Amino acid sequence: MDLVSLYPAIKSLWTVWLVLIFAILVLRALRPSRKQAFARAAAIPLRDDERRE
Amino acid sequence: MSAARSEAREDYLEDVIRASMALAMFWGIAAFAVGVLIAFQLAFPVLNLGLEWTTFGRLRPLHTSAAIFAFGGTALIGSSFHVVQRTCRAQLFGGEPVAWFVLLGYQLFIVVAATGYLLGITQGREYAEPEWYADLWLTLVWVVYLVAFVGTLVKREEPHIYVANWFYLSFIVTVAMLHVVNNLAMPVSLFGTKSYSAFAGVQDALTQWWYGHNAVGFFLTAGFLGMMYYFIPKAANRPVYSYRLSIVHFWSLIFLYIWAGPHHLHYTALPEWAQMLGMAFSVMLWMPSWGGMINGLMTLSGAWDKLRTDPSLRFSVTAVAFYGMSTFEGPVMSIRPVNALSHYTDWTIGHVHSGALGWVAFIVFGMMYHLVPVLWGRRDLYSKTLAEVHFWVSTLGIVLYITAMWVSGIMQGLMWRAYDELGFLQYSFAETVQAMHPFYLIRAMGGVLFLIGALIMAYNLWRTARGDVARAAA
Repeated sequence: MDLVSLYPAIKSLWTVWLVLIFAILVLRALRPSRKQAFARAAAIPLRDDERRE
Repeated sequence: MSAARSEAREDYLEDVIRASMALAMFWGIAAFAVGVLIAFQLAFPVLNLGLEWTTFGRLRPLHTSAAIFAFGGTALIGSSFHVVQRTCRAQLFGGEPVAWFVLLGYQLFIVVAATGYLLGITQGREYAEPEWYADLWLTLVWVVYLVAFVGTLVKREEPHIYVANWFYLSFIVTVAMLHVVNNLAMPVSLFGTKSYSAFAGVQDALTQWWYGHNAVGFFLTAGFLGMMYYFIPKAANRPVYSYRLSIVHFWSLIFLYIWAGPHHLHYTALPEWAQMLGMAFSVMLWMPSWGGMINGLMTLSGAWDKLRTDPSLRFSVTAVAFYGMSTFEGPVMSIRPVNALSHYTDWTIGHVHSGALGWVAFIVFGMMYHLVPVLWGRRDLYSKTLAEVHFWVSTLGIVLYITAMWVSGIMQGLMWRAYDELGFLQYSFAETVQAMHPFYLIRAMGGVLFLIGALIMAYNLWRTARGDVARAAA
């Protein structure tokens, strides 16, 4: 078992990586503790006063 | 701090955004007008005029590029400059010179590419027709655009990067990547227009449709979703329904879209596993698309009455509904047995237009009806009645267009595959063309209505910018 024969298996691991990264991102987004921060973020466009006459 | 901030606010670049609104309106009308012309050419071939410059084959890329890149792209550049400045509370990085370079450099690209099509200069790659010299110029403009956008994000005063900017950024980054790879080519000579692609055969086809479908995904979807996530909350004066959902929407779109390209190459020389992969990812795209649609629509929950009074919101919300519809239809059409019927027929054209007219154009119209009064410092539009007329005329136009193409396309597909009892093809190609004639007429009428709507809009926005107010209708 040398590195060359391991290469195809290792190469296919990036699929697993992508799924893991995606899962982490989604779990982070769904964490209940983020609620307040998200509420603040969602208000960003509304806190901007436009110079309407 | 607060003094610095209010000073920064005074400094928002707006001239370049005002210019982009006018240019987008101009290109929109140009694109719709050429679309109407080529729709009539299909019904009445005599309208090709017997001149090489005015044949369908040369005008068709002029229409698609004018609609997608000139109208859509200019609206994206202008609105992204507005959104990134406002949500970062910072002036655009590089200031006036960089902003004008991006906008005008992009216009130059469009003019060079479009005049080339009429002269017969094309790479023959759908949605990537411009030849190598135009591609190089666009690459330069696009890199400056990226620097201006990211530079603004870096110097932002707001701690969080608002989600609309994520969508805009993914649009800029991905389009750069797609454009560079798909246009890798070797010019024949230094001063000639002709080049040859770096790819050949099925690799070439797959590169092209990896580009083509992600142009749909990141130019026509992600960019305009950035518009949706800023302008719908803004016009409704309510935060987006679920910020959490917007993040899941973003990442699932990013992770899924890039794989969907092979569904353009079903039953071709492309290996079957790649076709299946493209199909599977296309079907999975249902989820983020509908998540995003729900997020956009539900932002109005509790404020639905504004649909009656705010033309901007009416366009934006209808756009989101069309987004939901065409992102439902797309995955269905990517399923191989369905594609066997739909591919190469008018059904595809109808699908593209329910996305381009219903989603892209309507979300731009909604953005402009909101942004033009803001940019010119007007309390309101010149006439809400005219905007309402525009809405119904255009919506009727879209409905005529897509229903005609559904009937025509499915009929065409069924006629192509019909056999008689002896195993011969039942219809000649010319018979299918003849059968489609009435639907071509209905489609062209739909296009005429859409064009009329855009002319009404241009008049309304011009009067709004001048500061006129029509007497309110009862």
